[in-house]
Amino acid sequence: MVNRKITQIVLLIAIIVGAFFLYRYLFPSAERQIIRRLNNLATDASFAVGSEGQLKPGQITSGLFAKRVTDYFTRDATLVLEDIDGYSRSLTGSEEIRQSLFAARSQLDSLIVAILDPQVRVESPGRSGQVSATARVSWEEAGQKLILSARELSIGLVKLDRQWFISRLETVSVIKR
Amino acid sequence: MKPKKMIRLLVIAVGAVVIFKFVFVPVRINGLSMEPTYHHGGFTFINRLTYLTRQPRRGEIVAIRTSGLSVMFLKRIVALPNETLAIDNGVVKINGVPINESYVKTRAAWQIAPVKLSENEYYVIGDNRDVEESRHLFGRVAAERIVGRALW
Repeated sequence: MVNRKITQIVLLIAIIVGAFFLYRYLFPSAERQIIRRLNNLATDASFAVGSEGQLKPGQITSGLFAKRVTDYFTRDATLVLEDIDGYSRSLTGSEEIRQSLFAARSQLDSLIVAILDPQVRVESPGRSGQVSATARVSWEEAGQKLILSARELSIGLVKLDRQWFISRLETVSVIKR
Repeated sequence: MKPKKMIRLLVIAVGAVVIFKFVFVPVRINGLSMEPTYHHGGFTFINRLTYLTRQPRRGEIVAIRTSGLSVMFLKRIVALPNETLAIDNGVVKINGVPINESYVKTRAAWQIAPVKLSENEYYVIGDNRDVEESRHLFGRVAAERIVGRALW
C-alpha cells in the first residue's frame, strides 16, 4: 500500500516536471528564444573542410555559408571587433559582413564556435535584447594545429517578424591596455 | 540500495558540486601566456574564498572571468590600484621603480608608457614575456572581474 502511494507520488512529480519542460520547449521565453538563436548561429558559423579544401558530405560552399550566417544579422548591423592589442575593426551592413565571412570561410580549414555563459536582458517588452556572452572559437589555418581564442561579446538584438536578429555585436575588452 | 547509503551518496554529490562550483573551481590551462609557471594542458584550482577577507596582492596569480566562469584568463598581478605602471625594455616599473619578477625567465623588449590605475583596477600580465607585445593579452582589469587566486 505504501509502495503504491510512493510510486504514485513519484509518477506525479515526473509528469509535472515533464510538463514544465515541454511547456518551456513549446513556449520559450524571450530569453530562451535569444539563447537558442545564438546557439543556432554558433552551429551555422562552425565548419570543417576536408583535406585539400574539398567539401565533406553535407557541407556548404563559402557563399552559402556567408549568406546563412549573415541572415542572423539585420541589414544595418554593426560589428566592432577589437584585437588584444587594442586595434579595432568595424563592419557595417549585411553586405560587408557577408564579404568578410566569405573571405574567412575561404581561408580557414575549420572553425568551431561556441557561445558560453549568455546573460540575457530583454528590453522594451520583448522587442529588443542585450546579451553579454563569451564566444570560444577554435580554428585551423593551412593545416596548422588548432588555435583557440575566447572573447567576451556584447550583442544587441531586435525582434523583427517574430524572429531575433543581431543589430550590433562588439567585443568587450576584459583586460585593457 | 539502502536509504542510508543513498543519503550518504547524495550528500557527497551535493558537497562536491558546492565545493567545485563555489570554493575550488577546477580550470584547465589553455595557451602559453603563463609559461613557464603553467604549461599548456595543465590544471589547477581557483580558490574563490581568498579575496573575501583581503584584497589581491602583487605577484599573485588570479583568474579573471568573462561573462561567466566557463572561460577565465589566468594572469599575474603586477600593479595594484592607484599605482602607476610602465614597462621599459621589458622591465616592469611601479611608480618609477623596477620590481623584482623572479618568475619571468626571458623577456622581450616591451615598451608601455606610464599608466595610472584607478582605485578599482589591477594590472595583470602573463609570465611568458618572450612573445611580442601584440600577441600577449595583458593590461588593466576591474577588481570585480577577479574571481579568485590560483591554488598552486
